[in-house]
Parts: sequence; structure tokens; C-alpha cells
Amino acid sequence: MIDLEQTRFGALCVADDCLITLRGGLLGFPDDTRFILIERERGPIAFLQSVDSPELAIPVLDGSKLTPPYPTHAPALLGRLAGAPADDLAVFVVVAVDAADRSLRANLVAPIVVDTATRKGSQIILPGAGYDARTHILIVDQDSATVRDARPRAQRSESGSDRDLEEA
Amino acid sequence: MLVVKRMMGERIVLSGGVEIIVSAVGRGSVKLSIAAPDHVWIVRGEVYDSAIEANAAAARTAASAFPIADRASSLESAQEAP
Repeated sequence: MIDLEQTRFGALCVADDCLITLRGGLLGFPDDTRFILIERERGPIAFLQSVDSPELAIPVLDGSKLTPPYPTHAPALLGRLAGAPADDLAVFVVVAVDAADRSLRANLVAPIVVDTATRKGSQIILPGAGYDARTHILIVDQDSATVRDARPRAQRSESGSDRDLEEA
Repeated sequence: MLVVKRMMGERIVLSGGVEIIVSAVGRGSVKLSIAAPDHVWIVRGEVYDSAIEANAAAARTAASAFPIADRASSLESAQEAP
């Protein structure tokens, strides 16, 4: 068991078999490699609570709860990129509330991919899918969320597109 | 930081099986061809930066932005949704 003091959820006692290990940590947080998933009674948003830094917890959304289906990449590719070539992968997207307009933004560029059997995975960056790191999403109900901006890919901002990164 | 001068068609090799080849040089731009094992992701720096910033914004998002989180759960129960 691991005791965590002073998280935003108070003091937590974590069983070792609940740990999720992310190789390389989160992007921008390379020293945080061990997490637990904290779910809520209501709504599809959960939190990944760092076990290495009690003050770090990030909201995440299970990708399978997102409409349209996400991601469009083959599971085998996701597994290879995550270093978790497994049959059963969980894909989480990192969610943030925009400070300016309070809208909910999902980072569809860089999902967290975890092998549900070993609980190991990593945060990867998806190649060339035209996803945006600040995609506006809406919570629909307990188990689903939807991408608000349904415009065709070409009309979206260029920040997340990989259109000049081509396969050769 | 390594700074290295390369001619057209010449390569740089990184550990882990990554090779970068200068494949075209234009006015103010270069085209690089990158070969890497399929577990290596390759993205433009701006995309990488956007992912870093999204994580930072998520870390700044207060728990109070959502209803109170209630229980630590197993990964399996997170997968119950269709």
C-alpha cells in the first residue's frame, strides 16, 4: 500500500495493484510515471492522480466514451507506439477547462494508452490524424461526450494538423 | 546540443534505430526524411508543444471544475462503458 497525503482528493491509500505505470511519464511531467485512476460517481470525467507528485492530478476522459469514435488509428499501431502491444487497450484523452471561456477541451493529439492487463502504457502522440490538442468537447451524459467542433478537418485550426508530415 | 553540418543526401543516425536524411534544401527550408522503428512517434515540434501545453492546462484545471471525485477505481471499471 502507498499512502498519499495532501492530494486534491485528500489523503489516499493506494493498493499496489491499482497502479498504472506510464513509461516516460506524462508529456511535460517526465518524473511522474505512477498513477491511479479516480472515477466519479457522476459524469464521464475521471482523474489520473500521480502517485509520485500528490499535487498532480489531471482530468481524463475514456476515449471509448467519445463521439465520433476515437481514435481512428488501428489498435495495433496504438499498442506499438505505447510500447504496450496488447489485445485490450484503454485510451484516455487529457481534458482541461479553458481558462478564458470555461469550455471543455480535450487533447486528441496525445492520448494515454494503457494495456489493461499489465496496467502499463504511455502517453503517445498520434501521427498525422489532424487531431487538435484543444478540441472543444461537450459532456452528454453519464457515459458519453461529443466533439463540438464537427467541421471538416481542413477548416480546423492548423495547430494540431500534421499535413506537412508525409509518409514516404 | 549537437550542431552538425550535412550535405544533401547525408544522414544523421540516432540511437534506437533512428536515421535522419537531408532530402531537399530550399530557400529558407530543408526537407528531412526520418526513418525510425514503428514504436517511435515523430511529430513536428509545434504539435509536441501543444500536447505539453494541454497537459499543463489539465494539471491547472481544478477538481472543482467537475463534481467531486468519489472513489479510486480499478482500470477495469473504467472500461465498463460501451
